[in-house]
Amino acid sequence: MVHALDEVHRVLAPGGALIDMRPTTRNRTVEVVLGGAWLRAGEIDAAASNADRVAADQALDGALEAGLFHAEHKETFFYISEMDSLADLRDFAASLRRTALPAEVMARVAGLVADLSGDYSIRIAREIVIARYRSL
Amino acid sequence: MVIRSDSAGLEGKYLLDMLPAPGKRILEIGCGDGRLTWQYAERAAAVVGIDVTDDSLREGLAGRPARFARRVDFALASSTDLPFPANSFHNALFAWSF
Repeated sequence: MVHALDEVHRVLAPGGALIDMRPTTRNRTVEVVLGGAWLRAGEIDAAASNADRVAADQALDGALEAGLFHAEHKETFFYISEMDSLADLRDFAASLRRTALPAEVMARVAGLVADLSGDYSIRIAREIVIARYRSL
Repeated sequence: MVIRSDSAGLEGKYLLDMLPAPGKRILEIGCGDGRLTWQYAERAAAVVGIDVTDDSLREGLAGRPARFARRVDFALASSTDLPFPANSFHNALFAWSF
């Protein structure tokens, strides 16, 4: 990451913008949505990926201290993955690589949708940070 | 499997708000299959997307809209050894790459 920032600084024209967009260290939340109401079912642990994210934060801090870039603007938002059935949620869980959907969260979702009448959706919310830096 | 990714549409919205693209030459690091690239390429002068995964780049090239054929290129390259001269881009994007 440190070398990557050095390289990006080299190829960017002075004053150029570097945009960094990536998940934060917060856990993903799993919710069931029915009629505009959100029923929280649990979380997906982000810990397995957090060492990389903390290292990235430290590398960016180092690049700022070294005078390669200055921070201009930062915001967060939620990246929502939405599905309409337990089968889709199982497929989503199978696609996870460095973490897992806890069995108790799956069971809670199954219990919630079994009690619901009407259309529902299941959503996974992941916090994303997007920041803009300027090359000095 | 039917999963609606970014169903709120916020990823593209925030990216377009934050990335100064009009008339700019942009380097996208970790472009994968171009999922994000297509969201801003219309406004850029030129885009070069790099990734270390050959399969993703092949998908990106196969899915590249015809209107971007001259504007968007993909290359197999590492962010720690960029095969470009100094000062060759106006802006750069790290796209979920850390």
